[in-house]
Amino acid sequence: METNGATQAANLEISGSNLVVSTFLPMFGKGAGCKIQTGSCVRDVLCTQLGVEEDYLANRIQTVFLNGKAVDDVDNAIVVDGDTLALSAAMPGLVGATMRKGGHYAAMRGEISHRSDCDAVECRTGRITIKLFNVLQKEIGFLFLLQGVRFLAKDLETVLQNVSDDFWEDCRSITLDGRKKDPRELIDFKWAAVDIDLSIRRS
Amino acid sequence: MDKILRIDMGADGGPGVSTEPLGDFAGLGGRAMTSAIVSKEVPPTCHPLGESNKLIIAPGCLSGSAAVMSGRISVGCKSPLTGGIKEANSGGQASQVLARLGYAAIVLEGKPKADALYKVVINGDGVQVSEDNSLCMLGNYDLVDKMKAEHGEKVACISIGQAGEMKMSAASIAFTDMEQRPTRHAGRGGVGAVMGSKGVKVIVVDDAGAAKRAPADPEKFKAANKAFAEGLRKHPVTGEGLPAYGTNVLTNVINEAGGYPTNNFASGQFDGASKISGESQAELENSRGGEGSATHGCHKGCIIRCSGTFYDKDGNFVSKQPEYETVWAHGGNCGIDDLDVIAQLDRMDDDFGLDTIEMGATIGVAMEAGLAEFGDGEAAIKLLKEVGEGSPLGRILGNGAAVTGQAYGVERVPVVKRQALPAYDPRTVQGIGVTYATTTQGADHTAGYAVATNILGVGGSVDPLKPEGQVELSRNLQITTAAVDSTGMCLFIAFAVMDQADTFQALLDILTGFLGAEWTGDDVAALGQKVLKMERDFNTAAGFTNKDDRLPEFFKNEKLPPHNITFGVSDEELDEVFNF
Repeated sequence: METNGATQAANLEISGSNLVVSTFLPMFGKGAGCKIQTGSCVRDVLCTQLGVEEDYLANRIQTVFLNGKAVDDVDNAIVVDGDTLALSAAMPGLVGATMRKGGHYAAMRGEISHRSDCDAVECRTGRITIKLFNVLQKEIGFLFLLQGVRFLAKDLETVLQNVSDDFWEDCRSITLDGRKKDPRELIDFKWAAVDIDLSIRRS
Repeated sequence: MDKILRIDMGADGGPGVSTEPLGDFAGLGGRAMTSAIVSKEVPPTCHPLGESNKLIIAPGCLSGSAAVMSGRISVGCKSPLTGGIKEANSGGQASQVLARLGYAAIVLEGKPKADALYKVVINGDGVQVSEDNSLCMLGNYDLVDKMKAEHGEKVACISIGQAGEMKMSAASIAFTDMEQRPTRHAGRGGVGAVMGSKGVKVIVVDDAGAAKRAPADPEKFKAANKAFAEGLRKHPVTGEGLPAYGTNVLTNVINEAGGYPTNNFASGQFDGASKISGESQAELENSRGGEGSATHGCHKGCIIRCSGTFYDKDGNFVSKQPEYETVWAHGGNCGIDDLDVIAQLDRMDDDFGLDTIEMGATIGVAMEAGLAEFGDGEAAIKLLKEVGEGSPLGRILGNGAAVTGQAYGVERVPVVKRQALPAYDPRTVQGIGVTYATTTQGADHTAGYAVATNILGVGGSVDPLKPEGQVELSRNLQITTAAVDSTGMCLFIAFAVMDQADTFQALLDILTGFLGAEWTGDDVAALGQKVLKMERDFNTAAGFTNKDDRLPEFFKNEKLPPHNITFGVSDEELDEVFNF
């Protein structure tokens, strides 16, 4: 087994087909690190900075959690460095319905509703964790992969060890810390870095 | 549906069969029917396993028709688990089949004089009850195979496994699905033990030659049914989320909210949640393939298809796709993050005839007691085997979380009215804690579902962002849910009905078109209130007081990570729920 010798985050760029992109989408269930300008509201982070369409946020993203608290007002929930922002489509079940942003049953989960914080927050570059659940993984996960996200190396390693041959055949090129690699070198690759900054190019 | 079938298992000379017109029960279906008969005919203080208790099996009032999603069936009795009234409902084929044969209810009453086991066969020619002790201690799968060999591949079976025969309080009643597998269960409250106490192992129902029930106004019904189906298909929950991921799509979201009870309600987040989530489950099932793998209906006429079929890595059938509550109960609640282990536990529950929620909660309590380590899947399987075998330990476990907690001196026992809590921690979602505490059924997540109270306007309008609304919302939800449970409609229609006024109207039009009388939102609310009042009165007469409408003490005292909150709804507020 080869190691890349790095100790900080390694930089991995993969160019490939839609199959290659879709391979990484389930990883958003555990979360992916995204670089943003913090100190902005949820709407600004998602729509202005990360490219999610306003309509999509209004209609498709029905459930938003900021650090595990259900958000009702995406304009008054401020995202700061280190936060976790989790997004879901509409969910079944009464409890699923209670979690909807501004939903009719929001009162039932009042204790975990996000309260607006009016204190001024410094705007600066920072990193948050984005989690995407259910249909959102397939629908907007690629947006984040194209911009680049950070995964734990051990999680990426698990994914790459379990992909099919089709995945490797669909990888057009792989660059690791600026050096070209044969895609199959990654099958049993031993990552020295804790984190991997992954970006995908569709080709 | 114009008749009620009564089988007196204690009649002189052996079981006696009679059929009678609906009488006072005309117009009722599902939960309204079961609760009305229990309330009128069962002495509230009787022993649940004694001759005075009755087991009622009732299709919904739309079952047997062409109405989509109308195949739910209700089972009612005095519960051996809670000691109060019980309605447990299920999918499967039996509801449609019984309704087409014209039966609005089957009532099993009395108690056999001898220790014998019976098979009941219902078809267009009538009803036969015969003693068949060769069925003794068969699991549901072997039993149904035997019935298939004797009666063919098209009959529906209603049956109990070993747990029901042993009269365990966690015993369920199984209903065969479209593939004639015993995968659908009226799980809660020990209804299987009551069927066992009547000495009935299986009811075989054959509707050969019977036609679909005809609506009173065919044109109105047909148009409404079409509009209703379209409404379900276009809604993101019923048209996309549920078919793709099943109910287990909730795992990641509830875990993110910190409301996913983990290791017997010790924490609100489970590290292994993403491994057992609906997304992972669908990916696994799709990769293994097989007929009906990730998307499948639980009865004919189901168009949401939130179920699926779980195959092992070699492609062998294991069980139906375990749903959210099951994955949680046997998964996160026991610290287990292996979908194959969870599916095996689900299969064993279905075969022995056990409620998956009760058994998952019970194993969680057993783990807390030190009988196994949290996260040990093999140990969980071993404990469940003890139940099926009826060992002394199995007899304790098979009687549920409350008995197990009592036997092993565990303080953190998640039950209300001795029934185990489902998969939402009431400290995080306190509104559902109100329902858990106050429902007539014992802790039950389906007792107060998200059923369009906003459109119905039941109890007036509640500010969604006002925390004081929890009691009022719970009350309204319990009323409307009781009404939906009476129609035979699957509760998952709730989301499209809640969000789309035209779909809600289509539902009312289906009822009007089928039954012939105009149905309004007020009628739905009135029916729900009537059902709840009957159930509440029964429980009061059985000895329940407001002291039974409480969550276990630990929910008030133990802070739940990660939000570190306790249940804060006061007893006084809880006592307001049934003020209507």
